[in-house]
Amino acid sequence: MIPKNHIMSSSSRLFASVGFIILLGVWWLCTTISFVSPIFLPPPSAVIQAWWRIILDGSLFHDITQTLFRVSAGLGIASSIAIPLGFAMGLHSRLYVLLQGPTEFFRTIPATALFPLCIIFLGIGDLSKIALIAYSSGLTLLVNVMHGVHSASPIRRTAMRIFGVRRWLLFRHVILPEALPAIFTGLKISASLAMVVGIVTEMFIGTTAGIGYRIVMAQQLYNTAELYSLLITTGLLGVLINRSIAWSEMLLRNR
Amino acid sequence: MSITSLDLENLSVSVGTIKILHTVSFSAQQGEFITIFGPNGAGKSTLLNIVAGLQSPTSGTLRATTSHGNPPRIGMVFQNYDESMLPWHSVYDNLDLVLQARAHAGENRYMSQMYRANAIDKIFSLAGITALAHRTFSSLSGGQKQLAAICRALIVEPDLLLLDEPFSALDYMTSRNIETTLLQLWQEYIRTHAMIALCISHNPDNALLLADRVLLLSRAPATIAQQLSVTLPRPRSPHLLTDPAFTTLRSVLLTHLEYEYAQVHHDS
Repeated sequence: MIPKNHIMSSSSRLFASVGFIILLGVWWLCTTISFVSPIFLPPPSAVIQAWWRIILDGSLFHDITQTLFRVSAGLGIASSIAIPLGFAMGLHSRLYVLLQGPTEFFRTIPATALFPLCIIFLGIGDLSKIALIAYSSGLTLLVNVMHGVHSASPIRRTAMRIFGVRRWLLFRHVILPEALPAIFTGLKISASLAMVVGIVTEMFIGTTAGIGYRIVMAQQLYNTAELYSLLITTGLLGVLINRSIAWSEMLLRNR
Repeated sequence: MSITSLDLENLSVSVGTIKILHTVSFSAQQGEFITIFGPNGAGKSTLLNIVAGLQSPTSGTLRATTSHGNPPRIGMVFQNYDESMLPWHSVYDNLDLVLQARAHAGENRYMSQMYRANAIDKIFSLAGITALAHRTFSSLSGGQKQLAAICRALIVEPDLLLLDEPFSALDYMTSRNIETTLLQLWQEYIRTHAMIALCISHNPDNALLLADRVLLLSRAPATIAQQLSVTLPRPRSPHLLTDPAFTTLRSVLLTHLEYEYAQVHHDS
């Protein structure tokens, strides 16, 4: 069960880290008693060493910035199209009817299936990767924003109409606050998706830097220690992105 | 800015083949508080929605005569205060928004933030909720929320004050208290601003205590079965509930309800 209270006390924070400590302990135990071959699972110390090495030579930083650049560019393009379009579709039923079918259709096509077509059109550079990230995260965000605007209370809209609250006042004080939770939920989901698609494109579409590329390289060289350190980095990046979105949501709400 | 009369003539409403209102006619004069009383499902809300302009009648006419010549300005209190107000705003901002809307509609006096603040402070002190002004709406109790909703409806100085079962979501004591405050506010605002109030109620005590006149609706398709003048003196308070004149009127309302429900059983 997820605790209802989002503000964790210091004792529950401590308790939350116990899960990681247990995981680390089991990992360490498995490698010390040679339960698993180090080719598959190197000991924590080896992973930390590999991690430290790629941090020191600057390659990890370079890979992270490359990946984050593509993901944030894709997500930026996606938000700048999907958020206004989602509002427009949520507010104008005609536009909704017109675009709802195509949206649902394209949403079912996985971004990975579009790799070949995207390479034909945009080549193997950053452009095609960013386009694919924008495509998949944009559609997810669009659906969330649209439903957020749609789910606004009809009674409240009626009340506002009676009191003559319309246009910008209506948008600023009623529609936007009602849609905000759905927009941020959409942003969190699409950011995770952008990360997934970003790393996959780096694995399969010609790249010389980026976490996805580095993961494939580590696997091909059987450098499992580095592979694990890269996976942990990816996980941490995901958490960081989600946290920063949650944080900006909190900031916006407490304004 | 004021209203002189509201006239409904042979108003009928059907949805598909179902008749909801059947030739409803009545007139209300400046300063009158009218409650619409009737059994559940009689079409009370439909009648109010038509007056509010949210729904169109199938036939018949609705005419509001105002001194400014424009359609009447409406202040409305909904049954559901949580969904009709903005829970993410403070009580103050809820009221300020509707005044800003007046400014956008071209009423220049509401452009001034100072003017709006004075109007809001005045109504809050009359309603006794000054201390709650800067609390977030969602943090208030049910009674406080509905009181804020009543203030929002009155602050726009409406020509028509429409109340859609304003007490039905509140417990007995709370509804008594809010009713007393509403009576005081009405008394205060009607002195400076001529308006007509229409209030839906299925509670005979609410209906009588607030009203100058009670319209008794029959069950659907609703017609006005009877009009009852309530000549009890104002200012009124819940002390009247035990007054012999009040109990006589109350028995008329209860007899009406019993008759209407008996008809339902008779038909089925």
